[in-house]
Amino acid sequence: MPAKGDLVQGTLEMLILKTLALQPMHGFGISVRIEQMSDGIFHVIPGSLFPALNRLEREGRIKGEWRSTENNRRGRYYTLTDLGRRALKEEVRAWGRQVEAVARILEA
Amino acid sequence: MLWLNRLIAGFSALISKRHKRAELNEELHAYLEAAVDEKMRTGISEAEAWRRARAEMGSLETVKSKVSAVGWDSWFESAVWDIRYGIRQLFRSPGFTAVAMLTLALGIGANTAVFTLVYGIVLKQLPIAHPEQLYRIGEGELYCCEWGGLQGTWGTFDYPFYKHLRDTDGSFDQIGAFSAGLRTFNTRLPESERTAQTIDGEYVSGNYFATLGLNAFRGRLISSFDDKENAPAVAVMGYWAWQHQYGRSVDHRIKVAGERTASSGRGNCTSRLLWSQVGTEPAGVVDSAKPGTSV
Repeated sequence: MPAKGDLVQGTLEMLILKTLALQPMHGFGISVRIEQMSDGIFHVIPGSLFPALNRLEREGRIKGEWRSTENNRRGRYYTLTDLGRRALKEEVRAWGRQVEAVARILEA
Repeated sequence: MLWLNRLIAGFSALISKRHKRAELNEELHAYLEAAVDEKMRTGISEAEAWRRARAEMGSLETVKSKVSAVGWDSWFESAVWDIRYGIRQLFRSPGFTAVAMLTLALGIGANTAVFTLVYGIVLKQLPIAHPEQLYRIGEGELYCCEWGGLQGTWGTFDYPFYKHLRDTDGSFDQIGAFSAGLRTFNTRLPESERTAQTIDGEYVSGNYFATLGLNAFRGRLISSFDDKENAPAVAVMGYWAWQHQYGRSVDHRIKVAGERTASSGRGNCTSRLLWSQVGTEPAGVVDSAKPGTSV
């Protein structure tokens, strides 16, 4: 069982995409949203978040741009691209299959 | 398309390295500030909020290096650094560098030499039509030439025996023949003021070139029609000699002086005469001129 804060390998990018599917967000907003939505189970540290954001942006799945925040500061907001939307759909489907498979093994 | 995006992103990261770094720096600071705002909302002091936010972030440099390690360009960049470091180290110890370079040079040179040898002896095919169909008749290792007299078990035959083989054997398409040992011939251009030059050559049977499946580079090669009694004496010049000694002369009528040797077995009856060059062998076949004759 993963300890609090541990993410299953490879799921962080999917969670970021899912978070951004709701609305564009900056880095800190993403990490807070993931923590909230997981009821505090997942805590995304900057050392994992920013490499993942960089990877997603390089792959063209998200797009970052500077905007002013609600506190009148500048923040880099990330938006899901069409490519990212399709990738999210595919990853959710694959994740569902994996969870089912693991569940079947554990129930046997 | 993912790989293409990654490729383009890597290039753009390499080009605008400084800009990307500054941008990441700004983004991380924005993250810290947002985290501080969030923490102060719970009622703690600003100083305490900063302390906690920094602790959660960890080392900024670590985060930055993790981010830049994402793309292939980071690999490229570190390779460039490694190469620069390596070159500096080489300059620092010139003795070692010299020995290493010498070792590599000798090693590469030796390998090249061995391969050239193996290629020449084993791999390279004869420049003829069907090298795999070519057989030598006779025995012994030194078969082609007579250097200072016949020795041992050389596979040399007299001309009547060759003719007998050629006319009676059915297992080969053709049986060609060439003389044992090289002869020296005198050659000169007609109407030339220059003295005749000596050139190495050998006598070949009329079907010699047809047996090897060769075609003339210029003019024609000797054919079995030249292999008749009273046929005019003809010679073929090697490509190398034609190119280097005769400056690619377009004149076919280079005169070759030599001895016409009677081959009928009636003894050593020779007469001096002139051959006319009728053609040039294709490039790369033999490096010496090869006046052939119909006897």
